[in-house]
Amino acid sequence: MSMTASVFRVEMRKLLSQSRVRAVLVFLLVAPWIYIGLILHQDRLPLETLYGRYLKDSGFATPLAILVYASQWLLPLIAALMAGDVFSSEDQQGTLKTILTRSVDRTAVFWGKVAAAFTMTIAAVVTVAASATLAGVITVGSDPLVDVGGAVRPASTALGLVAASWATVIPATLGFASIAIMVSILTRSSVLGVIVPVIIGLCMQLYTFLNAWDTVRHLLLGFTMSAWRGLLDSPSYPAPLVRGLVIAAVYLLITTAIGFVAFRRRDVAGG
Amino acid sequence: MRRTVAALIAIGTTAGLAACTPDTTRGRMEQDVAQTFVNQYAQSLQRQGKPVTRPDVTSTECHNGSNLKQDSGPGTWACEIKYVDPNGKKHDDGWLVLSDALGCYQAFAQDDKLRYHLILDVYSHKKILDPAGSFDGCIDVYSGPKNVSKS
Repeated sequence: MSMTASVFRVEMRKLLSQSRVRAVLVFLLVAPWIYIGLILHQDRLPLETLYGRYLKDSGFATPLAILVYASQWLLPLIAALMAGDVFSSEDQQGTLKTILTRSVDRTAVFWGKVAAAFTMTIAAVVTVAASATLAGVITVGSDPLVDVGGAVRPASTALGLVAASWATVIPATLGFASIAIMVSILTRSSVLGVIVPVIIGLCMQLYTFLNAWDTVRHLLLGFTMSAWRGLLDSPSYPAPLVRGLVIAAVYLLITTAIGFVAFRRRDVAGG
Repeated sequence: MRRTVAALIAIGTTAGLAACTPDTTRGRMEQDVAQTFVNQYAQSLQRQGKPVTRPDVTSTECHNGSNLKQDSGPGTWACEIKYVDPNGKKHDDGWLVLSDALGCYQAFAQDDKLRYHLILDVYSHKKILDPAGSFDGCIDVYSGPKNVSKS
């Protein structure tokens, strides 16, 4: 356990020192303020977007409208950027052999790296959620929020629902991160580790917009990311969220298991 | 033998998937649009500082404009809501409902006067779009009426 913790600390330092990771975090911090700033400076509202009509009425609509966009393409991208080269960068720099001959075993290296990638992915999601909520509340105000069932939610309840909504997309985002890790291990390519999860996310999104089999859509991570909408209905319904969590757990388990087995069996004798 | 079994499994899976109930059914749409309209109507009165009363919806009928045969799935829906307002006046309003594949929709009154009607919100002191003229909604795709017009 202490070996895993050591690897985790080292990997966190490595991730936080990367300019790419820092740039992503700054973008996530700034983007919501630009978004609501542009909305407030125009007459029209994005009525075709869920919660778009309330963007000038309640600050709590801002994080929810941004969550609609984020769950479509931003969250898979965040996951890929945070986790896509955690393993493959060692291959490219030829440092894997050095690491594995130190006093840490492969299992500790694997779980330390996975924990660091997941931690940074969660940190990125929390950053954009907190920034969007602050941007909305500060620029628009903390007036009550109208949910999709037509009920008025007071500020204290609305804040809790916003936090819960963002929390529900974390398992599916980690599902994309685990796909990125698996691809990163299997291909030993940072480019593929970042691009493949994004392409998979886009394909899932494309399927979601097709009027095709609904049963298949329910099995996609993209659909799971929309389960939060049920929390903000009157009456609320938990079924999409419960099923979504199961789906995300299946993705996480399968892709992490494949990555773990591939990493354990890897021959690093050649460097 | 193996190929035959694989082909049968593939056919069975395909048939099973195709036979499943669609997410956005006519029944679910009619139920949710009517319920959300009642809530939004009450909210409209509340925000104008008027006594909150709910309209009595007598009937709701929705049809999918892009999937006429099955009357299901995402796309543009036309809904007709008949209701009696708190003053006893009968209404028969047409609604345009744009439904996405994830089970959420934007509903707009077909009458532009109602659709773009602004009210003064007594709480925020801002002019807002009348919730009784346009609103968002979501359906639970795992429960509720599964009926479509034809199967």
